[in-house]
Amino acid sequence: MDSILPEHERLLRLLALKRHEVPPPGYFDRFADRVVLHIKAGQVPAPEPWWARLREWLVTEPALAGSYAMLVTGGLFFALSVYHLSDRGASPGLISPHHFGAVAAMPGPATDAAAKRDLEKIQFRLQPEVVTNRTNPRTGR
Amino acid sequence: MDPSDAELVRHAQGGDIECFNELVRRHQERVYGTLYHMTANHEDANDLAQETFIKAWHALGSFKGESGFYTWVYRIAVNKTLNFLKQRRNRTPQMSLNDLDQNAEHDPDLVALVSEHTPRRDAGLAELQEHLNAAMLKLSEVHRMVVTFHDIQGLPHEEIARIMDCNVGTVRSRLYYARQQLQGLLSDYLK
Repeated sequence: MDSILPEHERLLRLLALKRHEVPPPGYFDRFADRVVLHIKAGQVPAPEPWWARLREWLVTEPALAGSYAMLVTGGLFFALSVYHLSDRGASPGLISPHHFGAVAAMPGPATDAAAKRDLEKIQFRLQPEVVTNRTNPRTGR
Repeated sequence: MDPSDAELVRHAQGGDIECFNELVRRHQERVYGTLYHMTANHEDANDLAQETFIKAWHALGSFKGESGFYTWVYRIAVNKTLNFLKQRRNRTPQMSLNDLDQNAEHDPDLVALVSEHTPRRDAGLAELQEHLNAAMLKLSEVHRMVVTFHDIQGLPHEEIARIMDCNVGTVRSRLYYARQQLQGLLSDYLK
């Protein structure tokens, strides 16, 4: 007789099996008391830290999190390109590390005088060598 | 005469935790049952059921009585379960409640299912249960929930619509689709 029942009737009978799945004996005798104990102990579900909430959000809303990550990355690239462009244009408002190098190498009045003195010393030291190396093209001495 | 849910809620809202305890006792089995059929794991169902009632206690002030207490608690349970299942998608659920109660062996419907009329007559109740649970877990969360509420717990369509915050038509179509899927997955046991 069972075999002549429509399939959905048989499915409903099969699903009825789930009603017999029960927790361990005595489980419900203590359940309500445990809940009340938790409440009395003030065991409010503790607010999760921000990183746990972020992790949960990343797991539950992957598409949204992906879009957000792309937006942040795009913003970062945009900021970097603006920075480089302004650096090339030597905008006075922006100071790059190259500016520091350029300022250090720039000759000023004090460095000019020192450089002249160094040059004179070098020339003075070179002079005798130039004289001793001088030979008479006719005698070869 | 036992006080109604509404009376118990009123007292509980005034801080009477014993009245809340009575509300938990009244609805614990169905809430736990829903959570178990959704998660297929006793430990997860236990944790979620406790969290549901603790949250209900703390949110009791916002309960206006526009719906029944159990509809309101079910809503909390449904939201908690859906959030939990979204997080659990990465790991395979472990069935943990494979023992059937003793009445199962004497249930005429189940006896008929494993009788000589079924093509899989060698299948015992345990095997049947295993396949049934595996098929249930293949349904999407909302479809599994509708089957749990209607076909296992016997709630009417209108009540399910209120709990799941959708219209009755959606409940009916979800139920139809879920049953179609289950029939396909369990065809060996339904011929």
